[in-house]
Amino acid sequence: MSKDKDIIVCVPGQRLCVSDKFNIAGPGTYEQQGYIYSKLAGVIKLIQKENTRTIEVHGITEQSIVPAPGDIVTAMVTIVNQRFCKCSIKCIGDIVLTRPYRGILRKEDVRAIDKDNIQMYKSFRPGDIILARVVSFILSEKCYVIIHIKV
Amino acid sequence: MDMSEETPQSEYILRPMNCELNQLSMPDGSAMLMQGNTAVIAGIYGPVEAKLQKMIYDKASVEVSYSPIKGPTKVDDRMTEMYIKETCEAAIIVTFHPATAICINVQELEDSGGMLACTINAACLALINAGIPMKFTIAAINCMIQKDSEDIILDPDNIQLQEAKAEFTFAFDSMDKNVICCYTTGCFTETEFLKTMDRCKQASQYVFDFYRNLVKKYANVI
Repeated sequence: MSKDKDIIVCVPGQRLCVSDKFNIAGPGTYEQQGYIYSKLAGVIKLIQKENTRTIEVHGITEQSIVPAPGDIVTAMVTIVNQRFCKCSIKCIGDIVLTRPYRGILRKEDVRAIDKDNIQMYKSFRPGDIILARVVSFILSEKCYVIIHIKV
Repeated sequence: MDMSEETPQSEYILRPMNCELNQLSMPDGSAMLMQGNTAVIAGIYGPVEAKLQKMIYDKASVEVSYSPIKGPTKVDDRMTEMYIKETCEAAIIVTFHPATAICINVQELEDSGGMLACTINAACLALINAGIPMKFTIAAINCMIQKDSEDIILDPDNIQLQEAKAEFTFAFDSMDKNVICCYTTGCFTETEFLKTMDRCKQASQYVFDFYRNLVKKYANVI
């Protein structure tokens, strides 16, 4: 079989198959009115398991990702305050971001024990690279709340 | 493609379309589209952090910036921005990236008729290139009704538009071929409107086929 026949190319909004117990919508697809549709332009991949088949669409270009609660991020400390320090999120997991996102590390989230005796100036300084977990997104501050992970 | 018997296939042919993806290095996705001599370049930045006043907490906000060839943006350009924004918002799955912004920058390179249709198509191709999740793709078709003969001409150029009684721009989705946006100028009857819409709907298949071939070409390269 030639290379052209191996790859199945799809465009956004293309109906791929019926959504049932056998066919499951995977990444790059969405389900609507009993059918699975593509939401990206790219190549269709079928992942066969015991009695199910997952339909995935791998985009022709890498997708921009946004921090979500629960993600482990690598951040750089930019501003240190008595109550918190502001960070610039550089990586999500092992993926380097195309542009940074703003994060805030509060005093009480630096460590799990002895929270009252934390001194932010002694813990961090601008330029430090830290590993943290995203907790939530503050709308008023327009930044992500992160919890420091001790490495 | 379904063709009515009374209309020859040649009547559905649009001006030649050429497109180059990833022309710009800075945006997440870009497309340079030429429809005949009409040319635009579109760039997508997103999803990015939204400005506080434009942020929507449960979905992504779409921002459009349209720049003409020369001079500052005018009222007509603001209208073009609005049409692109509303059309792209209908196609993008905005709930996928909440509290973020998707910035669409469109630069006019040459206007030889059918500029609105060309900008919508370029924005759609740039969104595809950026990997933004979309419910469907969009095909915009421009057409006109001639003054004397009252013939419907698809994708007219500037010379043909001088003899136009009415001009139409329709945008259709790829799933059900429903009208996403419609822009009209001039005087026309309801029958003429429905007739032009039907003609544009059938011609939109050419644009969707063009998208598919373009994606196939880039997928094979990768």
